[in-house]
Amino acid sequence: MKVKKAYIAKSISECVELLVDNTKIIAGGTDIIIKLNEGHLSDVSLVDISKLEELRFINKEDDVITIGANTTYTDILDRPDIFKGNLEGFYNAIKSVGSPQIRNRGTIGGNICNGSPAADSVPPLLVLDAKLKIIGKNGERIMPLKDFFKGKQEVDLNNELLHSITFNVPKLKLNFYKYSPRNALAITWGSIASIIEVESNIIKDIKIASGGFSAYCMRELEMENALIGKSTASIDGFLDMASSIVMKRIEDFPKDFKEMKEVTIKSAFRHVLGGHYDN
Amino acid sequence: MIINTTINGEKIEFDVSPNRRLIDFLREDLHLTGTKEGCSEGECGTCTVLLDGEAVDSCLVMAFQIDGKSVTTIEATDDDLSIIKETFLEEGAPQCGYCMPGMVLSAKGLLDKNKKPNRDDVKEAISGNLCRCTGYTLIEDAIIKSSEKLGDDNE
Repeated sequence: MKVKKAYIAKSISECVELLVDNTKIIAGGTDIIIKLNEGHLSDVSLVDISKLEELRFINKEDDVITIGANTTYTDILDRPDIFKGNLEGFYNAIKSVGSPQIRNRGTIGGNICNGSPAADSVPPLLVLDAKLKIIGKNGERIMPLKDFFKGKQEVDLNNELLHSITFNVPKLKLNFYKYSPRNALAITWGSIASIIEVESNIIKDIKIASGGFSAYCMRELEMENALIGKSTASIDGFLDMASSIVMKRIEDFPKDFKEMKEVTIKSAFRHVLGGHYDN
Repeated sequence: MIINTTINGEKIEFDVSPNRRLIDFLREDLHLTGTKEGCSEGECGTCTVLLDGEAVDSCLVMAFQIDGKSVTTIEATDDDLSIIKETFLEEGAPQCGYCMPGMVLSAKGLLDKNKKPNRDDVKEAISGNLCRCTGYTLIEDAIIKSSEKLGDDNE
């Protein structure tokens, strides 16, 4: 492990001043310490933000929810009063993360900034059209979460700090399904989050986001556009369309990997959307 | 870098390397070898300790991050932890024993917050601790029995 130096940030402004090239922010540490220990990351300086309580908050004003980047998964699970109802899919996604030990330590900001395609909290936040507040030396900026991911574990941060995540409580129920081999301690094989509006058996509006089916979690706009205005008589045609979109994306991968993803995407969509279809 | 921390109730000041993980700090610097290392990536829970009362994997915390915080390991001798350890032995919960320090600390983390856990609460609390010898049933029994004993003590 090669950590050159570690700083414990006492304030947001001190943290931002400390961020230069080859520094990495550490919060809960549940991802970055593995990378350091296994040698995938070395010769960096760490800026510890885990003691910045000003980044650890959950605010709800009317229907607008803001979560500070340092908020742990356990902090969120301790507030079913805020995150149940139409947000239950988000709550379930948070509950599916790792183990109690990981959820006590890991933060929502870390889940987003780590940029993993398997980040459990991100697909629900994508269908919620979440926005990020990011702070740098030149001030702050707000950006949509969907534009934040640039590649596998590459995010749009340039010596900046993620401050918080904001989204509205949805008017309809957010559904989430994570396909994984076990209930606990299981990385996702693939996950789907969706909000669907159906009127007289016609899909009026739909939002879909996926995890584990691309280099990063993403909104599935092609699937959404193909579904709007369509009937909910049978889900089979949609499942074939959704899996062909994913297959095109991963066509260079080994055959067994593609088969696993095909089973995963069909199963995940059946769980998330099946209830809205006649068969 | 200098950190001030509390380990099993004892306040200490220590000059720790920025490269040290909490588990290495406990085992190598403080010679508290009761905490075991398993997978080193948060998958097995063997290295579980309590950080300010909450169960965490000590392989996924940097030592400098415990500055100003308190850590409880299997070596702690407070009454509640001793009762849990004894109950694990009485119920025959350990087989090879390697996962036991982590299991006991996860149990303590649960029982500090939830005095009367049901079996589902217990399963959830140890869902981050793998045991490859037992079928978990005796471990769950031991945690439920511990909660009854600790409850009796408080009455």
